[in-house]
Amino acid sequence: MFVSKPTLAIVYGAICGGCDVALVNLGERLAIILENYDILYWPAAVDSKRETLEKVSSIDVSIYMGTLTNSEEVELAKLVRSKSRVLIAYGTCAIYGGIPGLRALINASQTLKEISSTTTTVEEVRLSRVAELPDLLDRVKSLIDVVEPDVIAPGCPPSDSVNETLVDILVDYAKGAKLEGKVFIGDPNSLCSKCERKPPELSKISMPGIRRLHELKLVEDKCFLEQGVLCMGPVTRATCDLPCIKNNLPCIGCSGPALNVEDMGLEMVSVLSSILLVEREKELLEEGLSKELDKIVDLIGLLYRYTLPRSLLIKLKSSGGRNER
Amino acid sequence: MSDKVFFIDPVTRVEGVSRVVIQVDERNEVKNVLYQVTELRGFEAFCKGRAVEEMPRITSAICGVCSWSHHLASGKAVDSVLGREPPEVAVKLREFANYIQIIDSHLLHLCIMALPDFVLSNAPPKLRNIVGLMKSEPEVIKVILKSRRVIKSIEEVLGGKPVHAAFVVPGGVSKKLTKDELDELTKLVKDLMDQVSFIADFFNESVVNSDEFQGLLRDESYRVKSLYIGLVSPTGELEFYDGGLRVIDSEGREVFKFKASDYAKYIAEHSSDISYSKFPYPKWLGWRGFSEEYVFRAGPLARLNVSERVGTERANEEYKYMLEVLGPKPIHNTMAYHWARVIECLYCVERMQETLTDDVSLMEGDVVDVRGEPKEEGVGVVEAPRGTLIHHYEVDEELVTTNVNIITPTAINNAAINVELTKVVAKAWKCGELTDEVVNEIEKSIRAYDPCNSCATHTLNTDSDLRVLVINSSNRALEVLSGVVHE
Repeated sequence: MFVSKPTLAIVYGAICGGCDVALVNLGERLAIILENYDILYWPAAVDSKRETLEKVSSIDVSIYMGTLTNSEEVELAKLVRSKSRVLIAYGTCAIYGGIPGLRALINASQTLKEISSTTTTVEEVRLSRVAELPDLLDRVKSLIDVVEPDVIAPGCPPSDSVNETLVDILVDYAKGAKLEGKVFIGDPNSLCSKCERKPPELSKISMPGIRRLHELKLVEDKCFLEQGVLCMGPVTRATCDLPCIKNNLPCIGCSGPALNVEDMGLEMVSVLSSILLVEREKELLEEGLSKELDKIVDLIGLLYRYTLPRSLLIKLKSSGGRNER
Repeated sequence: MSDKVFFIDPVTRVEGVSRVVIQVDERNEVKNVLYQVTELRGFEAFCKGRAVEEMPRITSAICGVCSWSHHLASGKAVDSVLGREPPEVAVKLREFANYIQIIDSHLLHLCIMALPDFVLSNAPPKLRNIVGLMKSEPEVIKVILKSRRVIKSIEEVLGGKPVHAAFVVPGGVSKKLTKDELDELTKLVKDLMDQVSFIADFFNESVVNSDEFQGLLRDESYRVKSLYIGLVSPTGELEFYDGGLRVIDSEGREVFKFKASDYAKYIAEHSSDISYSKFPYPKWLGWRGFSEEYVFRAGPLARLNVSERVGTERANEEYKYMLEVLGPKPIHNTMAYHWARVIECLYCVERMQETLTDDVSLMEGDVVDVRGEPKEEGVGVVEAPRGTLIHHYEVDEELVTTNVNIITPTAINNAAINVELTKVVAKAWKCGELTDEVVNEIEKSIRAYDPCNSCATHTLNTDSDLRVLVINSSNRALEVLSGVVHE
């Protein structure tokens, strides 16, 4: 049991703020967390500065949000890991890199060059070294690339059901319960397992070609793949209640890979190759199928939208880099 | 000769990651003050090469607090690229979504971030926050937390997810509203109206009338005589989704009124090593550094300054009251941003109620129109909670993005925040140290803009020269390094 309230720190990498909003949206449930914990650090809501984290000897629970994009964020992640009894990777950015992870194939100088392409005037200011902006990483990372968390709460941002479980874990922990091993919150199966649009026999899905989102009017109750639209459902972890699909838009994979899916993009290509134009397979041959696959104009942005830094693509690129050296 | 450098790191009770750097000489005189956005995710870089129709669900992640605004601005830019005109019902639904976005963000800011400065101004820093509010204002906090559930539910009906919604499609929205959903929205918006009214009344009684707020309103250092920019309707009314951009000068004279798609003729962007955020500036005046007549301000106060009327009853009453106290326009006091936010919340919830009782049914007709001839580029502009938000995409023949420019309201306010900080620090810096009180005086200035540092961009190389003594915010000397802070 804790003698006084356990401490809670909410710490950021590069964030959009959506994970903060998800916590605040807990509403009355947030009040329960605030009652059970002493909030040591939470920049969006509480006035403690970075030195608080530097000075404190230990933190009971830390929630980490965001992608790691610069040197300061990497230091902070290591600092928080070293001081926290429990570290929670909250949201898909912290776990897989999230949408900002799409920068994983663009290095620091290229990023700055691309971004300055729209500026009309540029000022070079000589700053004291300490006031310099933190260096961008050449390859953006997820928290998991740098340290090991104890609890993983996926979603962009995490769904109600993930948050419910997390609040339970936090409240139990504050009451003295121990954490048993690593906790991965949420249904590990693929989204298709829960989807009401799923055809009776999953193996009999037939994709009539590749259609882009703007090329058709989406039918409200038909499997997206059967409409020719890329849906990441077959490879995505079902931690949500399918809000996008219920809203008539395909899954884009925001909860990351389902259990036993190593690499979302590769797995999805394998799914596609088994369902795409199956009825015309014999007539089209491999060449025809690959021509159809070419209609996916942006494989990275569609198949790795949330997981690029953790993908095999990046792992291969990293090891390739080492060999070159 | 050694200067000291102080940091407020991070600036707290704002969204995203930023810090303040204060350079002081050996006589304890403030030499330089900088507001630095230290986070850069690089959307404009990695959004190149993407299928343009996917942009609304990619760029929404620029900001989780105003994800709907990015989703909508992006949707409008995609419509423009594809040459599409969404049907009337779809436009109504998008406007409705933009209203709930404004309320969501404004209440989040007012209640969680700003309110402690006014109703807990004498509390110790450790309690100057939502935890302190739970103790001192339990009734208000109860309404605030309940409102979160209502706002979230409205957003879920529209977009499935409250943050990073699945809502906009090229040429419309993803699905029709059902009768049940419409009934649910009607009920939720009624609850929201009660909650917004309660919070507005509380704001009037406990904030507007407080000595703390009145003192801040009279304080010259929290005043920037800037240019203002924002959308206005064709009749000059407050507008969030459509209309044209209007710029007024510090005397309130109209400088320009232009089509949002012509933004690049009027807005240019400056970049500097001091921040990863760019500094959009009035192109016709040129970049003149941090001088107030030459910088833009966007957001709630700017919108009220550039528009001639507020078109709903309750909001208009509140607006007139603000003008009575602070007018005539333009109002330059930054603290009035808080008041403007309350007025906008009233306006938006009133508009939402109107929409639900309107003649045009939200359930009839198509919600998407896929007709249109694609073009090489498109611009989409909306008023986001923090101000004018611009998405501009160029595409190749496969409709893949080749160029992406996004100008966010926090970037538009970036120069003004720096202008104001210099004044506020000059006034607050008395005893030569960064006490909690001085820190909060400085942060109050930043907080009034409700900056969203997640919507950030840019930097260049650095160099060093002069010797500087470095001290952190607890006044502990760290090390002596070389360098000059901003000249």
